[in-house]
Amino acid sequence: MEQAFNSEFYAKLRSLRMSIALSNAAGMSGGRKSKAKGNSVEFSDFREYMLGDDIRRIDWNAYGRFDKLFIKLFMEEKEGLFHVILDASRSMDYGEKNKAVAAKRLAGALSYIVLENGDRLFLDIMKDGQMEMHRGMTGMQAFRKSIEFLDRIEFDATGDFLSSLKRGNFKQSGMSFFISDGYCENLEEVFKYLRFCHQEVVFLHVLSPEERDPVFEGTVQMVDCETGADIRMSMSGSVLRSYKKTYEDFIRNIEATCKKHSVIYIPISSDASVDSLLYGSLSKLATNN
Amino acid sequence: MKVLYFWPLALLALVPVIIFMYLLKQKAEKKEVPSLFLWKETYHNVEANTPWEKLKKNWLMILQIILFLILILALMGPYLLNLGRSTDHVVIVVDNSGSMNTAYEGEKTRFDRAVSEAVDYVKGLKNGTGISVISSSDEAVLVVTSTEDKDEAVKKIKAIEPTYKSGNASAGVEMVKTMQSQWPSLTTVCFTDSNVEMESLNGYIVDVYKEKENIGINYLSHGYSGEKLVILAKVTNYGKMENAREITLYGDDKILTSQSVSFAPGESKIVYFDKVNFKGKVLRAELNGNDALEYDNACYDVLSESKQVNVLLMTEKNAYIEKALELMEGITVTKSNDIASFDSFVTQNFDLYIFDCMMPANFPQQGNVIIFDAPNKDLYSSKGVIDGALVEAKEHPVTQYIDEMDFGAIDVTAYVTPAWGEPFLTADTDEGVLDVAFTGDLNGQTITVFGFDLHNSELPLKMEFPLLMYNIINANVSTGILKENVISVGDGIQINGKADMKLPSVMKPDETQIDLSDYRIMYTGTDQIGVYTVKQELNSVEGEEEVFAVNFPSSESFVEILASDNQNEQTDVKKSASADLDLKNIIIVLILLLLGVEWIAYLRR
Repeated sequence: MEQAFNSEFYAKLRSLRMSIALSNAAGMSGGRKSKAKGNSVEFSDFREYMLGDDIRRIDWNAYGRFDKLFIKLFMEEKEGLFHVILDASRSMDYGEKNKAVAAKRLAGALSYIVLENGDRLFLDIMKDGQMEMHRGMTGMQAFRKSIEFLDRIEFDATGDFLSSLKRGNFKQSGMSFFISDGYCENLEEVFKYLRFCHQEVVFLHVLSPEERDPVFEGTVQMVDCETGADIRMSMSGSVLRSYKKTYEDFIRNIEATCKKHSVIYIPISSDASVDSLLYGSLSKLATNN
Repeated sequence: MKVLYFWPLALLALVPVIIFMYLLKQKAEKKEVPSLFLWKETYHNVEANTPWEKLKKNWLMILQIILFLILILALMGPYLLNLGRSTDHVVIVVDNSGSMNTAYEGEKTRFDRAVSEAVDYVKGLKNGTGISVISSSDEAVLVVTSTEDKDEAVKKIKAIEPTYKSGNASAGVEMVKTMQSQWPSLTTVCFTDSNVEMESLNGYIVDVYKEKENIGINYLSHGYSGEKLVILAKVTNYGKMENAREITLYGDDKILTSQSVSFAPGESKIVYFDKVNFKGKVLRAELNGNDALEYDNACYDVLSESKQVNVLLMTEKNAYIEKALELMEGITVTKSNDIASFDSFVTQNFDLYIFDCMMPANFPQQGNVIIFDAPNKDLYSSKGVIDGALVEAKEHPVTQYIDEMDFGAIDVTAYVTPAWGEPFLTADTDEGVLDVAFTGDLNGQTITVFGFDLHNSELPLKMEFPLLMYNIINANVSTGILKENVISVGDGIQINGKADMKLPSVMKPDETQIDLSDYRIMYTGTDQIGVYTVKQELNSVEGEEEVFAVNFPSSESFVEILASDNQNEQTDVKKSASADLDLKNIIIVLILLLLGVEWIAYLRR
């Protein structure tokens, strides 16, 4: 398999500056606006003084004008919480231009953006219905750790996304980047669950060209690399056309599901160059911003 | 639609083999996919279209089975009736001349091709059509006349044998022209390799010619250089490629010498064999190796023993003797009435001298002599002259078969037959039976003496006269049984048997013996290539034997004017008798189209 984090990746990464929109930051004190009122310098609102309020916050100018005590409220600034959720099932390890490599690069690039923006990063790896998590990381010094963690991932598991996610830590609202090939019966349940956990969801759908346009001839016994199940089919023009239609329906369904649950859908082809991955695919996040 | 053959139906047994091969072909290749998630759905979609999809999946196999069935149909030789074959009477002319022995394809000759085409044609005729079959080479033979039984016609066509004779279908066409008056609407189909002018005849030529490489020996000849032979063979390369061949010369079946010669396309070469020491009878030159026509690869020559006999006839005027001599083969007659200059003639050493009512001063010392009514005191003496007498033949070798003959004559000289002579004509007179003609050997010379002038006798008017003359001259000179010794197949050869021996017989190359019915006969049974032996027995011990050789006619080694060169617009030339109604070609085109469809389908898969 190709090296995911090579010199080209790092070279491109250095020039990557992107701010990801997050409507509701809920982490510790940080650089993002939050719904909470706090101690930042940014004015938010006035309200009448209630017993127990800090008298230092009374706006004496207002008292002089209205003869009533008003308290000045300020914005609380918090850090954003970002989850990069990676599907480490065996099906991701496929294609001449391997999907796993593309997925790792995406995860690495997202880690860089998140950490560079001063937000908190969680790396969650879905494996056999379990969730392998890296504790929250902040600051650019944590980037190296995140890369090391990503680099170690083996794509050899079976995929049961919902079970894995239920074992994840989504107590606070934030944003989840869900990186997968989407071969899952209950993808809608996955999105519903994440939304339920107050997550803004971005689905990075990674597929290889071989899946898009399979080149098969004669009679083929196709074996599922995850389950070992097989199907025997005689490949003909009509069979391949039927597959193509099924594939297109599959993409359309996912797009519709994403739209329904306000999930940002970003299709990724595993043969895309590093440039295309970082500036083409992820730029949709910035545009959204 | 009808078919010619049913045997291809047996090939239907191979249809399951195609299906079995398709089953074998469907061995699945194992491929790993990331997930069957999409494939399962595709599988269900495809399955949902069953059974049409199943059929579609195997339509290439079905197409191949259809192709195979059509191929079987093509092999069965289907044809449509009533498409140009509707005619009341058909005459089939099969050329069986020598050139038809040339290879056509593989082991098959042009003749084989002609027969098979003719058979196909007959099978395709409408029932009730009158069929006549003619074989044609140098002569036409009517094999069957106006039969409506197609099986019989086919049998007769198959029974025609190829010959080595020269000729083509022209003789057959001439015969058809005579038949035309009987069946004005007849159709003529000529199966031949060369052009034939059909003129007013309705019909066409089926051309069985195919360009092939052939080298042939045109002739073999010999001459003498001292005691040794100089032999020449003319060899022609009729092909379009350069060719090198070895020519071997055999003498009485033993190898004498050989030469390697190369030929440019179309080149003729004279090949010389110098100073060949051979004392036998038969020479044979043979080209080694094979070509399209094997029969012109050997050629015979015979070293002739028969010689030309030179006769000097000294007479004032005697048409009887001249006519009698003319009838004999191998005789060259020199005539003179100048007995005074006889001495100058003698120097030419004639084989036979005939003195008619005159006698030279110096009797020739060599050569045989026949004397009509002339005295010679040195050789014989007379008893006197009979005014008129009835002359009778006496039993003697020269009067064999004519010993019953008698005739009248005047001024007949009776002789005292000398000791060396034997009388063969006598006259019954008052003085008894007197010898009036005798013959005998004297010092190696055969001398025959007649005691009367032919003009003064009835002898020339007798039908036995030519035979008597022939017997006498034969007794005096030997002309040989055969005048020529090398001929071509089909040519006649004159056999001049000697009347004083038994009837001659001919031994053919295949050793069948033909007993001839007469002494002098034009023998035409020269249908085999090789050496023929003519025998004539005197008795069980003695006899004479001569050989002649029959060669393949060089005119048959190649076809001068091809049927395809036919300039007559009315004469149609085809390559196959059934081309215009044969469905085979249409079916083959159909097969090719289907193959194209299969190919495109295969690529699209």
